[in-house]
Amino acid sequence: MRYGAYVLVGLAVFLIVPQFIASYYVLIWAEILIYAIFALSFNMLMGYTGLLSLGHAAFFGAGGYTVALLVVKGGMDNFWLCIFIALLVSALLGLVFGYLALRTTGIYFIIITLALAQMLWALAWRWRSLTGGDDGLPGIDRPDFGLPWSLEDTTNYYYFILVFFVLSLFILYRISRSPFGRTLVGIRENEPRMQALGYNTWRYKYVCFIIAAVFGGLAGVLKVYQDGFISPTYCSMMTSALVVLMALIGGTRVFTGPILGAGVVWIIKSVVSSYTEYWTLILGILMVVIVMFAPQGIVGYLAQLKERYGTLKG
Amino acid sequence: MPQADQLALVFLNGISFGMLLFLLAAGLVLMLGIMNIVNLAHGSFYMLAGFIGIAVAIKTGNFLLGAVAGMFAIGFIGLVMERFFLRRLPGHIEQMLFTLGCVYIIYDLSRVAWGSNPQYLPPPEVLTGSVPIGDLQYPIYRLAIIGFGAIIAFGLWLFLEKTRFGAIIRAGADDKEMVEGIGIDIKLVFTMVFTLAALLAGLSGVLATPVLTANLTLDWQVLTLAFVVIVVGGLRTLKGALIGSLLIGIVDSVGIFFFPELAMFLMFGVTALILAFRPKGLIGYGGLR
Amino acid sequence: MKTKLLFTLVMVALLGSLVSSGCSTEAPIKIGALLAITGPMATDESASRDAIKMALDEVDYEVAGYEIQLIVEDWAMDPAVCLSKTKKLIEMDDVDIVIGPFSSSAGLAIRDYIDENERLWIPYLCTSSSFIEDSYTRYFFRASYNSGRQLTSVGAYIAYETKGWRKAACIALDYQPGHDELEGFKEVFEAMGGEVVQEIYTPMDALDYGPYVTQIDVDDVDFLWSFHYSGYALSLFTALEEYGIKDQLPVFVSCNTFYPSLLAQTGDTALGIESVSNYITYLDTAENNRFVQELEDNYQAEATDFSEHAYVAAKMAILAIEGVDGDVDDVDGMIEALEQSEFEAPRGPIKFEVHSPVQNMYHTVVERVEGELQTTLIGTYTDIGPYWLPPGIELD
Repeated sequence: MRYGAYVLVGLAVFLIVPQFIASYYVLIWAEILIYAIFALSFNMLMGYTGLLSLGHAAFFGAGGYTVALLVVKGGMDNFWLCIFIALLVSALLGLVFGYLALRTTGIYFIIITLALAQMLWALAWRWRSLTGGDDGLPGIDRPDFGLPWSLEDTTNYYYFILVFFVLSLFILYRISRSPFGRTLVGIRENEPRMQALGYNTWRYKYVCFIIAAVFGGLAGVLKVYQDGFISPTYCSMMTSALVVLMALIGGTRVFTGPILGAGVVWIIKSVVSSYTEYWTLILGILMVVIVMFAPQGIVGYLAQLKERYGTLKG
Repeated sequence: MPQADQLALVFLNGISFGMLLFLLAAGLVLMLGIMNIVNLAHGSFYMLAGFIGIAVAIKTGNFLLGAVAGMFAIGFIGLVMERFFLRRLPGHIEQMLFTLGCVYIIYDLSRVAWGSNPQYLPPPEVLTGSVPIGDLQYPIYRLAIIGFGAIIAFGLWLFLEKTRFGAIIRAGADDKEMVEGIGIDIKLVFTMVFTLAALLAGLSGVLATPVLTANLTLDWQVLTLAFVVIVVGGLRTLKGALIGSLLIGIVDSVGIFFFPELAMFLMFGVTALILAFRPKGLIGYGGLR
Repeated sequence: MKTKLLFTLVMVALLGSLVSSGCSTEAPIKIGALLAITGPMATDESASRDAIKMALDEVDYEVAGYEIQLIVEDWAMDPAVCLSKTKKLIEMDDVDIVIGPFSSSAGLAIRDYIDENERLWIPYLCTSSSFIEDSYTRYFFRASYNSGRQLTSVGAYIAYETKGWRKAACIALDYQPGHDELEGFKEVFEAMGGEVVQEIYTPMDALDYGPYVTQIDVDDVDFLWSFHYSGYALSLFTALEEYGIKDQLPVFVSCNTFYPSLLAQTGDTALGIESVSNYITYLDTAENNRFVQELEDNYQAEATDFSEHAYVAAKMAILAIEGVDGDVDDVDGMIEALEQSEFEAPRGPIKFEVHSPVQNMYHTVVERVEGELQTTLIGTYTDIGPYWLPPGIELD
């Protein structure tokens, strides 16, 4: 019941506030929502299976490049078909990468995901005739549904993203609370025990990897329509590292953690950087402070505070 | 058709690049093999060592002083990181994330201190120049890199196998409780190992600078290369790292020579292939040897 | 406990910055500059920032009676961030003129957006030829040169006619401008009758240039043509020297590669290398000497091709504003003013053709003069436009 109230208030804020703030901030907010989906998808792996991937940008790039290629090279203007194919490609990539990567664990997993993503990045960079190389592919128009509200408008596109954000949030939340999600947590906490209980833990992790890939791809699709172009930075290691920062600064063990993390990191990168050139330093120090004093991330920390003082007052 | 001397050069390149990779990876193997810490700031250590080494070497006109300065500066940073931060963190993931924060901090401080222009450190006078190989020439400093790599590999082996402290470290890697049980302060051992690894990173960082130059992109580049090497070789063994380095070095050099189009894919492609078929690296892992 | 409270406050402050919106004062003319202050890169953009400031300081931040306000944004070497920052400059700050970015890929990322918003846009490099083709010339005015045609056409001419070389091995950076320049050189050099025997591309993240220079067929070619700058040039020249290739082959660079601090790094490995460029720090003209000196004295910044191009871009912005008497809403007027303009830059006289400079090209060689390395002028080619071809040469 209380959760329902929170969700309603949150939704109201997300719906109403953009009407009253400068369009640039709506843009930043929209970008945060996209990165929030990205960070949530990353956290499906990190938070629920404990597998840290340093190559999650591969799916962000896969989704983005698929749409870019379909629109620019294929001349396709049916949004639903584009997004369907893009998510399918992301899933297939997840199928392949997951199959290879999940044979390993621990640091091997970190590095094989990194290596696989780097190959995709090299492909995007090197296959000039198809991907435009480092110049990327410009000229991707936002979808047109024949509605009176043009999605070329920043605020309208924000609402469009918001729909996908809420949808993703809902689906991922349901997954995390389902028996499947609980099994994943069980695997994270004690894999041998789950195996002893008769679970095929590998298969669970594999499915989880593919889910993460699909939603990572979705974030890429939304971003590419937002930017109107794509370049290899979409699948670069910097993007992979950024999503790690987002999830961990927000908190991996709390479902809403990565959303707040995405907000904080993106604000530092795009808003704070307008005021100081030392934003990378701020990001680094923030990361260190979080790890030292609030290892559960900001949301985890706030929840802990609430628990402590909530019981005092109540 | 490539000539024999060209092929010889290609292989020499592979070996020297491999040894360079070993220099990049050795410190990381120590940290990982003994303390289970994935130090994402490892590449940053190299970058910083390069900048410091260049600054000191130019000021004093002495390459060796630059190398010593880089070594101790990074050693000190390693000491501080371990003693005041890493030690207080509960798990390996937290430790790794702490080092991720350090990557951003070291990057920005270096940018402010040295700017974005790349810097070059010429090798010491005695190691400048080239030796003829057939009709071609090979740089002496790259031969020296092979020597440095061999010396460091041998030194580490000697240290770990033949000294009492090395024995404690090896035992600590295998079984912490046992070491603590016989009255040795394992925390102190860890601090010393981390510092030692940082010293090693600092020294190799300066030694590698005449080939790599020092610039702000090195942090992630070196880190990924070091990762590739230790993963291919198997995480915890110096021997594995050495074999992995040489293998990757030669594959890279030969691959670029025959298939220049694939240059960007080679290193990561080989890594992914090896891991797909041998999920624990070529050598697999046992104790620290 | 205090630390935790402080920490919470910092978090709240960070989030709070999202909600605050910008407020504007009485209408000064605003110039936005997109610079890559942070991020992985090979050139120092803080000097570009100083050069832009210098150009504005010279007019006391006042043109045609209007106050000028400069807003600098860091795009961190990420084209997507560049687009976002451009939107910030136009939607929040409502800038009238956008200067930068230097990179063509970032430029392509913001091109459509600038077009829609109809602002005068002066990127100081963005050398890709795609900017001045088709319908995209309107708001775009660059301060640099055209990839694959200006520096490289003159380079091909010098190589073929002046030096008498016929067979080339080419080595270039593996990114779009590298391909553009190499292909442009090949096209012109082969149209003249020469032959490109080898094309080698070095990845941007190549740490070791050994395997690349080893591929060069020294016996088979007359010279090595290269497109490398900054740290990449440093690595290349070192490898060429170490592997003894420089002793056997002349090296020719079609790129603004050499500036004093780079020569201090390359040392003798750059000695004797000839190059063609549209700006050299060592150019001995009154305007350039003033520029180099003042930039160093007042801003402690170095005159490189980057800072000179940024300075010229700021100059162009001032010219455009003067051309419409400060009525910056008249974008067409500003564009017309620039189209007609001719002025003396540190690099020499500049005028425009298809919104890209017509300018001098300098053929230089690296020499040691009085103990210091410098680029010495061998020849000057005047009035080189963005589509210049050697006399008598036509391309399909």
